[in-house]
Amino acid sequence: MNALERRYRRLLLAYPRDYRRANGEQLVATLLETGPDRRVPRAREAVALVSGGLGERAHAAVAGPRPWWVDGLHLALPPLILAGAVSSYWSIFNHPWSGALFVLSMLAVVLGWVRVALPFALVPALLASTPYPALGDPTWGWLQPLAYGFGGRAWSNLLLLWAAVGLLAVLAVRGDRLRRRSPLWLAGVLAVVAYGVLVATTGPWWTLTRAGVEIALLGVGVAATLRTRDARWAVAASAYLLCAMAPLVQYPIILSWRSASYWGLLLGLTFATAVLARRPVRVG
Amino acid sequence: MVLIMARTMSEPVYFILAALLDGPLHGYGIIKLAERESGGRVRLAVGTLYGALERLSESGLVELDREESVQGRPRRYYRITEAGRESVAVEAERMRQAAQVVTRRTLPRTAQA
Repeated sequence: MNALERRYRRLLLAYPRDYRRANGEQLVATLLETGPDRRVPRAREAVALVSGGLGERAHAAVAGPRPWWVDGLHLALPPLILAGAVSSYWSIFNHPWSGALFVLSMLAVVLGWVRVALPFALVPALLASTPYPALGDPTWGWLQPLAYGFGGRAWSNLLLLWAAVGLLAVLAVRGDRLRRRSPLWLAGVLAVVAYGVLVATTGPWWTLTRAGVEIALLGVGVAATLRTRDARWAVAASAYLLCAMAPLVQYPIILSWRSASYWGLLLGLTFATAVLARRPVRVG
Repeated sequence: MVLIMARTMSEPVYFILAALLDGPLHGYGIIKLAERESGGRVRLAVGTLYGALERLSESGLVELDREESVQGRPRRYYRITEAGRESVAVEAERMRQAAQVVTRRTLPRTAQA
């Protein structure tokens, strides 16, 4: 195997494993025929391979017996759990074990085990819903620091945690066999929990990182919908956006142009997934 | 399905189907023929070609003809189906009619000039 073939095979990793197994050798053979004397792949071939690979992943995602909306609800869970962990970074700093609940619920969701994930998601939602105890109130006893560290949140902040519980409950009742999700979600929640435990300070870069991740993920949803015209990404994007925008409803403020652009972009990308899902498929 | 395909067929897909009209071809053969017949305009990237072939197979417009082994590597030949022939013919007719809208106005002037 020469350097060119090795590089092509690396690019082919963009395709799902099953597709590579069935078609990988054929693709490599054709790629080598198009330019056998080269040392590095042509840029347009590299772009087409990565884009084709992601497209095949999108097509693989819509295959299977599950109804599209069930898969859409399952798709919404990892971003909701991740955002729940992000909004709880201070609680995680105070009670590192609470971070483990987010990690365990994400692990179960990634594996498609919603009935296992449900109790792990329910505990932080219940804790966060407890009111702050009044100073000197003996009701909580030695658990009082827990209520201070976790509870007393506004409804708009609780929505992320309860939405995850609600979706998990619906999927648990239906009992569909769900597909596995990317382990990158688990890596993401682990990073957030580690950050909460070790650092737990935020600044403009924190907001920017969150915005960047949101926009990138919604962009992936738009691209996947464009390829498949399937509505499951619209379901997931809408569920996330409804929860993410709740604070704007509870605390209406005049938005700065920066905030307005950010929310406008999130709304626009979510709207795009809904609109694109209704248009007919174009082959090629 | 065929009508939807005909309304929304992209240029690469048109030339892939056109390349298969004379008989089965393998991937590299389709790339070369599509480039030649389009006057060099359609230069299919390999990832684009196989993505399109996958979708065309799912739509029943193209199917696998046979697989050979060349220097230890698989080489699959694809052939166009009856539905594929009909679809590309409908698209060609649509483009002919669309072209006529312009040429019937411009050609006489060109001839007069």
